This record gives sequence, structure tokens and C-alpha cells, in this order.
Amino acid sequence: MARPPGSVSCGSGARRSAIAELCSRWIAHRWGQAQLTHVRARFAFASHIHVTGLGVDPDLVSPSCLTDVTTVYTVAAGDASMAVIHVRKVGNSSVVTLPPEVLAQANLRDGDLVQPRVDRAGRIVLEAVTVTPREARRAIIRNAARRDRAVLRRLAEYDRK
Amino acid sequence: MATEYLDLDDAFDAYAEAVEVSVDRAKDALLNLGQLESALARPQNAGAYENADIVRQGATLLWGVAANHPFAMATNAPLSFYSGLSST
Repeated sequence: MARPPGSVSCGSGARRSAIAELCSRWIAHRWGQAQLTHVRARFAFASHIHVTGLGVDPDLVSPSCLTDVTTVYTVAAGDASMAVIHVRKVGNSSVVTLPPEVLAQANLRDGDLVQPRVDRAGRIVLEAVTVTPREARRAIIRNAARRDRAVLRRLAEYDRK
Repeated sequence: MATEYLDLDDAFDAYAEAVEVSVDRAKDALLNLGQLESALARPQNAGAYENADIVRQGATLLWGVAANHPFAMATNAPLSFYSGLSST
């Protein structure tokens, strides 16, 4: 996999742990302590960690630089998904890009519909939505009316009185 | 499984089937479009903000149509029909 410009090769062992811990602390500082365990776990799969906004050589990242970091994300290694995705502005909307691995795992394709919601734990959940075609919806309504025709006629009669 | 909610066209179709009139007649019977849209949106709001299950969402729709009274006549039949559809 090509290494993005400005990215830090995680390597392995102590170097990977040090960089992951550094970025995890920064994310926890920006997004809250609750994210720390989750982010640590995701960084464990990263082959590269891309750090921007430092204004210094990424290899010189130290805790004192943490407040200057604007973006930290990881590049997937193997089948691991991206740990952090930037929310960006497109027109008047804020957009999050879903990585191809996530789309494949969720069995989603371009043009599919999803329904976003936030659950009680604050997680964003995207649920695939199947929209029934108009004619099929009409058929459901017709069949339901046919099934309950006697009751509907009695109610309609009552309403007319 | 995601829930599909009734839209305006469904509401007119359901009204027309329930009182056995054409869809155009159903549209003529509409008193207040805003009140109908408001009633149709209630189940989604109940699901999103009150964690209402499908039965409660159906009841919310029934109550919304009853309280808002968006049609000019024959309220009971479409009312009972809407609530039945919402759990179909």
C-alpha cells in the first residue's frame, strides 16, 4: 500500500505503540476520554498513521505538539478499516466518506439508501433502507382494504350519519 | 429491518380505498394539507425521539389523524385503516 504524504510509518513493536498512544491521547483530548479505548484498539491495526497540521516533521511528534494537530487518521492495513474519518464540508452539507472495505462488509453499493440515526450510546448507525415501489405500496393498501372491507363500510356508514 | 412510513400519496390512496372513492375525490376531501403532513410525521418522530416501537408508532399515527382531522368527511374509516397499514 502506498504511504500517504506526511504519514508516519508505524513499523512494529515499541514505535507503533508510541505513535498510536500519542494519537490516541490527542483524540481523547479533542473528542473525550470515552473514545480512547476504541481508538487505541483501532490504531492497533494501522500500517500508517497520517498526521497533518503539525507544522513539523511527523517523525518528531511529541506530546507538546498535540494541541497543534488538526487531523489524525489511519490507513487501513489488510482488512482493517479506517479508524478515523474526517467530516468535511461539501456545499452546505457535511460529508463523511465510507471506505470501500466498510461498504463491502455492509453489502452496500452506490445508489443504495441508508437511514442515519444516533443511538443512546451516541454512536451513529447507518441502516440500509429498502423502499417499496409505489405500485407495490398501492397493492398492499388495496389488499388491506379488501381484507377489512366489511368493517370499513360499517365505519363509513357510521360517519355519514 | 427498517420501517417504511406512509407518505402523502399513500395517505390519499388509503383514504380512497377506505371510503371507496377515487384518489381525486380523496384529494378534494382534504381540509388541511399541513395537518395531514403533521399526522404522517408523528410516527417517525415518536420512533426517533421517544424510542417508540411499531405498535406505539401505529397508535401515534391513529391519534395524529384523529386529532388533526385533516379530511372533511368519513374520518373513522380511514383512521382505522391507517393504523392497520402502519403495522402491515
